[in-house]
Amino acid sequence: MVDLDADRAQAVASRFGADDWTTSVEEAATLIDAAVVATPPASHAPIAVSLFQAGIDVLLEKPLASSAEGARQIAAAAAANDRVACVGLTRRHWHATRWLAGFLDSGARDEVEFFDWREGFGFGWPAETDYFIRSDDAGGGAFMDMGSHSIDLMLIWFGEAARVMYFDDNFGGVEADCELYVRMKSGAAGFVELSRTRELRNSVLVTGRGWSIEVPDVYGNELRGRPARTLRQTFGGLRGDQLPQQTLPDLYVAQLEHFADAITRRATPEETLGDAVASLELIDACYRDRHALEMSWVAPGADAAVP
Amino acid sequence: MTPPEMERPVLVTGATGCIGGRLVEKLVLERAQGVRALVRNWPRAIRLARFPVELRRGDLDNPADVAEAVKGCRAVVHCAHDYERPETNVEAARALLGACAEHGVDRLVYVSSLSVYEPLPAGELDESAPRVPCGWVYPDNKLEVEQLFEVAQRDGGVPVAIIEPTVVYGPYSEPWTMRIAPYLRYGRPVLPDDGSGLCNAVYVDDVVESLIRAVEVDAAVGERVLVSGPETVTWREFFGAYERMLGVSSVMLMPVAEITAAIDRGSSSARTASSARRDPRAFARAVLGERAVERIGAALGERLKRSVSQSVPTPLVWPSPQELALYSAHTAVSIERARALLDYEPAFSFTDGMALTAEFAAWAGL
Repeated sequence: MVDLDADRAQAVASRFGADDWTTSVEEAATLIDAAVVATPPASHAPIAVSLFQAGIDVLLEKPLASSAEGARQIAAAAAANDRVACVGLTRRHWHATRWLAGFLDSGARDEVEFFDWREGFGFGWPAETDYFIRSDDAGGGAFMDMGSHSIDLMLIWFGEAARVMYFDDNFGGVEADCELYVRMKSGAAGFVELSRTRELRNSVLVTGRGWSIEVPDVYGNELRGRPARTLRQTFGGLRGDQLPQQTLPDLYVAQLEHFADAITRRATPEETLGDAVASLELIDACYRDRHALEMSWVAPGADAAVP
Repeated sequence: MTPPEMERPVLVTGATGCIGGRLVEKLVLERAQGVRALVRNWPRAIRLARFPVELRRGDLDNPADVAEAVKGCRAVVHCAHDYERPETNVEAARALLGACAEHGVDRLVYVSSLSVYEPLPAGELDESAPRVPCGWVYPDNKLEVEQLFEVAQRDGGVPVAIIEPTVVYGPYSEPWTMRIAPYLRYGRPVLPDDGSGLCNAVYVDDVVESLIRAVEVDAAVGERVLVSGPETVTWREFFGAYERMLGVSSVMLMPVAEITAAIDRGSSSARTASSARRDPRAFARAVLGERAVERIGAALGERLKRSVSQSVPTPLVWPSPQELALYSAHTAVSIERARALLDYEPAFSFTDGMALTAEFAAWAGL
């Protein structure tokens, strides 16, 4: 157990029966075979790189890094040191996610005409520090935090993005609400809305030629489809209308099993990180060419107000 | 070039709320004023963090936290009010006064309330109206804090200005926008008689403008100033604006005597608990009862709105005795002192303010 706060490190180690605790990553690296890094995103790259160089395999909390550059550093250092790098994108492990990816891989991706993606809730994470609202620690706001999940899945499901137009409400800090309009290389158009302030419907609607599929709860394991036969197909051993039950804790178990499996078979970063690097490149590109979200009640009479 | 005084920040308490939050936005966006905000916990700072403001975590009833937050500020605008722990508002005021005196703050602006005059007398009301404890928690608490600040001002310790806003509506206004919407959507709010009691509504931006002027204008020091909108509307009109906004027709008019009798019979228990007011679903549970909500069963969640309206008789939402008095009052608030001292002129008509509120409500999914 490693924490900059020695008391906290000791307390958590004691609570979970860990033998060792320290305030130094370098010291920890001499005691361990693998690490789970759940520090603020901006610290992921330097910590991961030092661990890889010390011969340690690493599972990183999402987002993989606070920028695409940090993500590329992580992937490169893992490859150069022949180490395993995994990322805690838990939603990849829903059966619904995997089934939909299999369905789209089977040829349906080119049939997708439109997807409509809304995620939002009043932010209430019981954080002890303010890292998540500091751009230098977190790399961004809602788009970086929530988007690291949703943009990762968007790329897994619908392929590469061709054009994007991004809007948020960042007035010199980090955004709380954002919207992404996207055209995928497949030709599909998409809309993604993410909010840390509002309860949105938390679902994804996908409309294809002659079919539609809904992920009615992005935090659940369910699919709805029309016509009904769409979901009767089997991909990766899963039938869309008969998905085995899963709970959120199951995802964390799956994530750790995935990490252990990757270590056993010495999986490469390309295999394990998947679209995590590409999604951060897309997020970076959106931040670089951002537009102001129109909020008439914030700047009455003006189209936008961004310093 | 930024004037030297603008380089010292303004401390805003209650900056995660409606008035304080909007004050931060306008200070940053329109005045290029440095802002420091004292927040109780980090997750509540999610909207504030959109702006380049200095965030400090601390409790207002902790003098050490307050002193650290006040240090180096040129002014303090005290918007915070703890509804759950009224006694702490007095402690917070004392802590602020002590810190402002210690650190030589140029101005302390306190956001009080029209409530200090409750129950409101008929006719025109200005700052000369009597303020006496009435037995209701909120007005008495606000009055106690007001008087604490007035004494401190008279003793010469801190330059204090007190702003008394009326019925503040607009984005994120908990009592007059966020709470009204679920009342109208899921219930039938009851108004007295023909709903002709006068509502002195003021759009939040006008209140914030008066606060900024109270920071800047020396004539505000030592004064209490009522701040309202450009016109009064009836309470029927006020609720009607929200009905049109939401596409519902929910208000029920009822003679005062019937409402009083219903309250006496205990029907007010059908109203919501304070904790439910922030959450439409919790509100629905509170007014409908857990069993009714359970009957809705799987339809809960995103389909709650439709399911509730189709499945369950709409409950009446009774006013509290304090609200009944407010809705019955025929009081028109004078803003002449605000005009004279602050050069204040409300910029948002009721129509304009509600139009912006409607755009916010649609975006926020109220």
